[in-house]
Amino acid sequence: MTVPSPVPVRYYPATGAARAVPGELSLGAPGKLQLRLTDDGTVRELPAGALRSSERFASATRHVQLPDGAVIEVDDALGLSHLLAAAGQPERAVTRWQQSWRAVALATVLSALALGAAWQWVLPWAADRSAAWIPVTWTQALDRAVIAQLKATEGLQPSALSDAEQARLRARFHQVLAAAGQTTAVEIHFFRMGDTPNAFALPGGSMVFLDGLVKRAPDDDALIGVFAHEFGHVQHRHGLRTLLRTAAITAVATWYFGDFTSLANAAILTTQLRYSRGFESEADDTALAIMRAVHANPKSLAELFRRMRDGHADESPARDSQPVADKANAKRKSLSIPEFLNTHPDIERRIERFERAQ
Amino acid sequence: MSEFPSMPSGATPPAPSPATAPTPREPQRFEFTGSGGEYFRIWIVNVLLTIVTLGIYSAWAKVRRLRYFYNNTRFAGSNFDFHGSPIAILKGRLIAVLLVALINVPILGLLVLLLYFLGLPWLLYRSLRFHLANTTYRNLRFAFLGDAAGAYRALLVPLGIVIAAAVISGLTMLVSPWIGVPLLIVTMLAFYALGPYLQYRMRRYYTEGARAGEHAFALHVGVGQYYAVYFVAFAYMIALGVIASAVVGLTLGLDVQALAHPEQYPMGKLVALFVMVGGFYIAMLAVGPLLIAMLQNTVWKGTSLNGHRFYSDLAVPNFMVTWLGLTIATILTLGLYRPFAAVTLARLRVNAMAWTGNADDLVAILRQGSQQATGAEVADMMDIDIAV
Repeated sequence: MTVPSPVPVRYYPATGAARAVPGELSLGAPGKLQLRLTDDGTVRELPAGALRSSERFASATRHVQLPDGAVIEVDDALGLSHLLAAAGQPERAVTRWQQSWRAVALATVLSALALGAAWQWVLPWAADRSAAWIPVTWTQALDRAVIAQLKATEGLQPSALSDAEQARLRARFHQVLAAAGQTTAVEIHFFRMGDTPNAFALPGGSMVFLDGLVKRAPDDDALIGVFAHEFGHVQHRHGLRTLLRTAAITAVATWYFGDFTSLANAAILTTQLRYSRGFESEADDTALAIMRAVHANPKSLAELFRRMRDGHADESPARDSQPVADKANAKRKSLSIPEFLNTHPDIERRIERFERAQ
Repeated sequence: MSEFPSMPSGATPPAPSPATAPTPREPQRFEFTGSGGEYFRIWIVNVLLTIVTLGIYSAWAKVRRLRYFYNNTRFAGSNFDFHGSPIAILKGRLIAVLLVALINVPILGLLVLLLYFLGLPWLLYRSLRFHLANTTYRNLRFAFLGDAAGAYRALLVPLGIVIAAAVISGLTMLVSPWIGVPLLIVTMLAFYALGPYLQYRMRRYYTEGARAGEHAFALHVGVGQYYAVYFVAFAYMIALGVIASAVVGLTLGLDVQALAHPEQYPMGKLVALFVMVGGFYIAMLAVGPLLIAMLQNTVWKGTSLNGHRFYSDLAVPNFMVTWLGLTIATILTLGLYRPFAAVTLARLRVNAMAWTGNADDLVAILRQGSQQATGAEVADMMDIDIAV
């Protein structure tokens, strides 16, 4: 290895100087660098290990702090690195990495993978863990607020079903829970929202059945299926978990993108939709298990799905095809959702699943 | 130090820098020498190490980032340096994480949130101290000598008045909504109107507390100038709204009847409408950089150090357009363009600045009393940095 050439420096004593004192830094005794000031020829040996030098940047003057508090400025950033390395103080690994485009490309890929993994697994996990900390009274208050909001803005009206019919269904549903050995508390509401066939569960365990859905059900077994599905959402706290995941992602996205909230929102929406697909399947599992336990016929639920699918074909095309929807924000449901973004697993697959279930 | 006889000042040969030019009252430009490509590499390595260490490295990453920007800011042949300890930043981050965790605990969280708001001015004060005391130029330190009380006077007192007004108008509401509601509206408006004033007070606190050696910086800007800047921003938004409405109205106005018949939709015009509305929103976004640029010019033109004025001539429309372009590029690249954008903005902002003193003036100013700043400020156990 060749001896690195000396570099010109500007010396600033610890007391500060009006003007820089020009000098030269070169390799000295092993492990040492030699500082020579040009004007009076003073020479000083400096142990390389005791020098604190600023990082090497392409076009920035480097600062080296001497043990006595003086500082030398070095314009030849690379030359200083060579000198320090020759005196036994190689550059830090991180500085070497960022000089290499290969290492930088690797860092880019690894960062993207790590962030993707965090997005996919860590965020949902953290949100689910914190869901366990939220008291039920809070989520129940949230339910009341959502229902009030739906009444005010989405035209949620009192159900046209007779009180007797409502009471009968409520009793039937509670009976199903008891028979299936379930203890999670639910509160069943009947409402009407035009002719919309829908039912949804809210984070605090409130469940809303719309008249449009009850009307289309071929028999009680189909309604039990819908109820069991929504119960699955309540039991697994899907509403709250979705809410917390969204909140966590919103927080991260807002921090990352700063003001670019519209992009953040788009990102959030797609995640939220993707999450609920997994939740829907899970709720269908619960529905099947409960229907089996109470000997309700899954084919009835398949028939209800079929009626809703066919009914929906001759309605307005943008009407959502979700027979059983679980969204705290029913607001979004009333917007047209393109088919590919639909939260529910493909309806044909679900019909088939319940059709074939024993 | 002992090995070096003290230099007789004036006997030294000229430094290899343009600082020797004897034209002291000609504004001397600041210069930014960083490059986007280089900063991208530093940034991405920082990101990876931060992820791998579960965030711990972010404190070191911040020091490296700040050093990159300080080291690449030159004035009269020398650059600035930053000596902040990553540990201080780590402490600040740990406190922040702890606070966020505590704020999420029911009931206790409200108390913590209140304490946080009450402690905010103090944190801000520590943070300003940390940053200025760790900034050097030619081995001489700056300092921040403002005190915590000043931060409270600047922030909490004006805010407290508004909060008190809100409470009073809320209570009045219980007595009579006819008095309460107008009072509440007035309070809300006062709250928004207070924004520029708060910003002005903070700036005054910051500038007047900042020291170069024993010399204070002075702010010759009145609160009226802050309101003038916000008035321009407000006028910009109103003008955009008026223009957009007029253009949309002229384009579509004649076709309102056609909208009732889907088959006669004027598709071309609708597309044009979407483009215009999109353009309107994008132009609205530019109110942020408008404020940044105008405030930079206003504040620095009105700042002096030891009688020497600073200067800033950031071209506002250019800064707005650049900022928009960079924002769009950042979004399209999912954030990967961010470091390039940061460097471009820093270059625009730093290169716009000048000082009427020269390097010798700055060194002479910094030399007086720099020592005491070194000792007291740096080895402070309470060193903390919170990004507020």
